[in-house]
Amino acid sequence: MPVLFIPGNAGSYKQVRSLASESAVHFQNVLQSDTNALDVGKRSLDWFTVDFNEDLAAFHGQTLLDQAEYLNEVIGYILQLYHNSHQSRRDSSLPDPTSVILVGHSMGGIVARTMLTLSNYQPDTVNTIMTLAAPHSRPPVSFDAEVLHTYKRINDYWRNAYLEKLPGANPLSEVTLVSIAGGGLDTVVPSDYATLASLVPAKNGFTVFTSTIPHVWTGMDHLAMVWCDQLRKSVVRSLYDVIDARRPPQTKSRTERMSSFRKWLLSGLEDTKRKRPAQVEPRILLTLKQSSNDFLPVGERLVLKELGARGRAMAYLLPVPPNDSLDRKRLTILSDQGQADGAEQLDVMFCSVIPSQQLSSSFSINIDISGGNTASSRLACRSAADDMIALPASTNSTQHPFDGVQPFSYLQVDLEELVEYQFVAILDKAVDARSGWVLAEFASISESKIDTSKTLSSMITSGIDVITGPDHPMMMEITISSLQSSLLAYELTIDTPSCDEPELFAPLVRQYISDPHESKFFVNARGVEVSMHGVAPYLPPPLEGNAGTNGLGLQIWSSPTCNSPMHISLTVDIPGSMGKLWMRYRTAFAAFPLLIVALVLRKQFKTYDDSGKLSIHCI
Amino acid sequence: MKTRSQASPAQEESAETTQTSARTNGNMKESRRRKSREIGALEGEDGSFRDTSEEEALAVEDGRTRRAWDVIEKETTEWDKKQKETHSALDDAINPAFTKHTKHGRPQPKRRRSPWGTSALILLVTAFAAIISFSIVQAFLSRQKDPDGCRMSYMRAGFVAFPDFDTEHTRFASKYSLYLYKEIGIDDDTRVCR
Repeated sequence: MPVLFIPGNAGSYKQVRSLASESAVHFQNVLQSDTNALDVGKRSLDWFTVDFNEDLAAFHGQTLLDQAEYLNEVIGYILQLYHNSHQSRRDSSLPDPTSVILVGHSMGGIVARTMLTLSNYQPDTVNTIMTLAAPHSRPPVSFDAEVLHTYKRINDYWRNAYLEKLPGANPLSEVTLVSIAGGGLDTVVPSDYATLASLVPAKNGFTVFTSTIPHVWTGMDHLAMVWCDQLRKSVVRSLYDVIDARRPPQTKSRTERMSSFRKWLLSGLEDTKRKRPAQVEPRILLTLKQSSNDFLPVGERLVLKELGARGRAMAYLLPVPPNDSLDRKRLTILSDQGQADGAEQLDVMFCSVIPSQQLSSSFSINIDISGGNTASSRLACRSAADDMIALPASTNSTQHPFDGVQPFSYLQVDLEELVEYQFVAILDKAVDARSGWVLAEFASISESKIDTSKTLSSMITSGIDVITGPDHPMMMEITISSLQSSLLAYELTIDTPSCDEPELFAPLVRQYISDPHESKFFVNARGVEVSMHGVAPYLPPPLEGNAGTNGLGLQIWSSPTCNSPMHISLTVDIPGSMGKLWMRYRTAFAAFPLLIVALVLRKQFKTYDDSGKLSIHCI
Repeated sequence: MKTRSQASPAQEESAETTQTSARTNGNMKESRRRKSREIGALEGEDGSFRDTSEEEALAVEDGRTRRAWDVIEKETTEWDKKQKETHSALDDAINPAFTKHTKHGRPQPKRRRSPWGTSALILLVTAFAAIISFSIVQAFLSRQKDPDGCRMSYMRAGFVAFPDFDTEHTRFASKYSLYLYKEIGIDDDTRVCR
């Protein structure tokens, strides 16, 4: 089904090849032979691209409009290709496509949005747009008044559509727009401008930085957005997740698309209220040997330092504590075992005791590790695998989150969502001893938070310096609401002075802001440089909510086997912050030569006035 | 345009001393100011300046008026001669005033303010701006840098053109064109596939 790639300012049509290649390879290797996938409408993506002859869309407003007008006509042509039976090998039981997915790089993303505002746009021919390093909020260079005027027209149209100020129904109500930004490494287009906060509400789109995306976990420069291998894999998989050839628009409904994009492109730790299915029926029957060793006391932390130690599959059960609204708790499970298909040695389930009369046939999966013992416990469980997320592996030898070491698995669930279960079961399926570890605990949310309400000025002068207690939760978090600006950079240091036992893993830090979705992960974190794309100069105000009011958040995972206080300090790095001024104010430097010429002229006029000569020493 | 004073050094000198001997308060200041404007400040070897009024004050104190003026006059006359010899044609073209001056052959003592002189304030502001600019560029290039971990991607690229998407379909067909990507080895059928 059709996808149209739109190159950017002075871009080439060939830039589509990395993405299109990954798409073809992924379909052939994974989806083509997966009957479940084919049944739900997964088909190969056809990547179209356009040659603009390296036109400068960023510098000339009319070029932007011309390209958008051309592309609306391209869409019409592409759609009729699929009607044409000798042009397509289409399966005649599937409906003809009525819309095309757009992927735009840099100014191509702006052209994509422009297409929907023009008079030659055929309604509903575009419902999914993904942009790579596209400056949505502001033009990246503002030397042409026409570019500014065009931008204003396009952005006003989009804003007014979502604010329901356009006559008639909102033509953009079913459109999903995802903006991916490269971060500080993108020195061509300021990543601050990639934000959709002022244009599109959260139910129709979001902005995410590549450092947030699982298995990418790195920033990248402007051109790398199209050829980065890790990013192309995530982009292609997210696109395959949203398509459905059985429907004429070729994609799933808007809410399903949004949740697919969030699953593939966000870290999983965002504060979004996930619409969990109300009652997920337990499908797993877990039968255990009735032994008190497997049941942990309430409030105790599970620490497994190796797997398969007992020579057989073992289930460890954490009782779910009572829900106390004054001392809210949260379940956190961290393991170095990955979630890769087929290699799972670990299963996490939420279980409840079942009445003994219930038939075992009502469960679809039966896990029996009781060894045939008649005195066994039976639990009705549901798998938590869908809720587990990947975190970059952090050991004493890892340097960057993208080092390629198998990622950790992490689960974080508030106690309120587990009230209907009595146990959390962690199943170690290894039958021979192997290296690996699992940590699981119910931690008090208030104990996990480090309270700071520092103002910006006191941050600049003194910073933050905290020492946690010795028995602190595995995951600690700090939120500093006064740190919102893109113009400041910080240094974070984490010190665990004395460790009782060797750490299972090195400290892992996640630095995050909520809108845009920018998270940066730091592995083996002892001294870390923190900077973010929050509130930035010249950005228009957001469509809904307030920009950056949550401020900077830090999540710190540390090995609890250390059992020693953790010393955390965060200070403003003034010399480092100076560098942040360049991308946000660089056009001011273009005015500098003009200033110098004006000053020299003034001096010459003054001298001439004083002495009748242009200069004294006429050489 | 201000007229050039054509008086001889000697004449100016006497006028000067006459000025200094007249010691009425307001008068003094005014006459000094006028004189400074006409002649300009003295330029030292090191680029510093001395206003004629200052010069007068010193002369009065030391009684070195005549000697000071003699030295300056000699220096400037020699300098003017050199100027005239090497650059007379160019000067004529560029500066009619200067030409007018040399025609009469009476070089002027260099008591004007040099246009390349700068006050301390300007130097301070320039230094501050230079430091700030340098620190911005240095910090941008070497501090607080995000690590870059992208792996290179590889592919076997092939493109299919659409020559019949021509000016009948769109007025931009002569400028822009459409292509379809085909992965060589996987999508070997040129038709669009499902």
